[in-house]
Amino acid sequence: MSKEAVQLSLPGFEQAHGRWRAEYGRQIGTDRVIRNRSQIEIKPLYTPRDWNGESFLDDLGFPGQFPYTRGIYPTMHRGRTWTQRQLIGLGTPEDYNKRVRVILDAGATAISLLPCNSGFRGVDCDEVDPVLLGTCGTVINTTDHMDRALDGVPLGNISTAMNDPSPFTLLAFTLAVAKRRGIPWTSITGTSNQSDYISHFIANHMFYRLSLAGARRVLLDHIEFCRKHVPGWNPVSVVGQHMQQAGATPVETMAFTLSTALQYAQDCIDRGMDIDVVLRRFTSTSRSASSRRSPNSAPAGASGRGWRANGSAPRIRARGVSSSMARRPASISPSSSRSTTSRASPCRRWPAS
Amino acid sequence: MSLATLSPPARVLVTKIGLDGHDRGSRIVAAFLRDAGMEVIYTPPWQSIPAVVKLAMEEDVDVIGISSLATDHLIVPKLTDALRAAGLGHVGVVVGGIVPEDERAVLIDAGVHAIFGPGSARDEIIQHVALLAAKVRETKDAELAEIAQ
Repeated sequence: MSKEAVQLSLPGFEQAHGRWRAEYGRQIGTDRVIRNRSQIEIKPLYTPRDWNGESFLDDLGFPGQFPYTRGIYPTMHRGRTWTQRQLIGLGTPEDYNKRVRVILDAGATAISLLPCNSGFRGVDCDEVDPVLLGTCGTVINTTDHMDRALDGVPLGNISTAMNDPSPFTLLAFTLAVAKRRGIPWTSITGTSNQSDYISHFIANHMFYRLSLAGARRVLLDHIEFCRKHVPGWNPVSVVGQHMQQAGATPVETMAFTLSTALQYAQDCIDRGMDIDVVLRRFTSTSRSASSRRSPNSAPAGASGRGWRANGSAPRIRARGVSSSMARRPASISPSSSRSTTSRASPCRRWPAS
Repeated sequence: MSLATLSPPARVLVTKIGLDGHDRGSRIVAAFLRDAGMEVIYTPPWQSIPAVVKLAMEEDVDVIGISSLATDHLIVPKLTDALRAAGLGHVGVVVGGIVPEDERAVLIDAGVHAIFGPGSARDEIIQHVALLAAKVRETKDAELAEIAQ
């Protein structure tokens, strides 16, 4: 790529640009600085003259190539359209199955499963008021339940997403069902959508169920198991969305999401896993940043960059895990009422003690 | 209408029962009731009904605000029953969040004083809770006076 500025021949450009500038200035003024949500100053308008052609490969590049600004696949959506996957979770396994069949008939190309809130909370169904069971997700407690939920669903040909903060048991049920049906685990594909326990700890405590140390061990077991036995499964989805919804700017979201991904990657390396294999099964979830990004910065696209860069190991640097982080004890019990005696604070905030 | 000011201030328990953990709403409501001068007792989500009754008794609250965003309102009638059984039938109960239109009557029949759905204004909630607390306080005071005689 030439380092010389691109000389664009644009007849009428100066005149049209000048006219726009005058009109804009009359209506809004020229002294108003515009900053995006990340406090980066942006111009009111960008034109081809703002680009000198120097950094095409560094900033933009080609689809399927670093830095992945234009997508992570060479063909992107011309090669394969995005997955149509609606969130589904309701009632009994039979209710779920009925709904799944409806959306598959309507053209869905993948399915998701949201378990009942009792499952989310790790509470035995017997301890829950029956009127609440199945109102916010499907009650799945056994392999038989999963078998009924997935009746007629072509496991092995369709990917599933488990929307559970600890999706390990749901995957186990799914694999048991596959075994019953004689479907090899190597053909099972899908994602553990809410396995990013760090995002739960810092920004979505309603999903935070195990201690940090426990969640970390279980997640690594999950990654290792999938690497060995279910290679088409994505065991980690690093979630920026929780932080965004808790108020993080796009820059903060990307920074913390990437550092979380680095942490998981380092943990995998420390366990002796081949990072080039494992990283290919890391996915990410960020929402709403794209609608707020400035024309020249791409926070949402950035999660497709960097850490997913070809699984190139040198990009993953060793990070020490602070002992305070790794050893923090469990802080949630399902039905504890806190601070029933102290009246010191007019508004108690959780955690209160 | 001016806010009814109680002395000591209205005591309001803001909590969530059941299985859902969406607590943004209860946190926001707790904060603005506090800012309006009330004494707010706030708990994390996932409280059991006996825990809420115990807390209401120990904290001598005037009003309980239940936040429900994912069907937990279905067990609110069990809470009002439990409050009455514990001799706390005078405590005002309001619900905020998502309550489907055809399930509102069940809650009102169970003794829920008001249901604040999406779009409810902050001042509307403050005013309602303040007036309800004042009414509850009157009942309490009358009962105490009766006992004292």
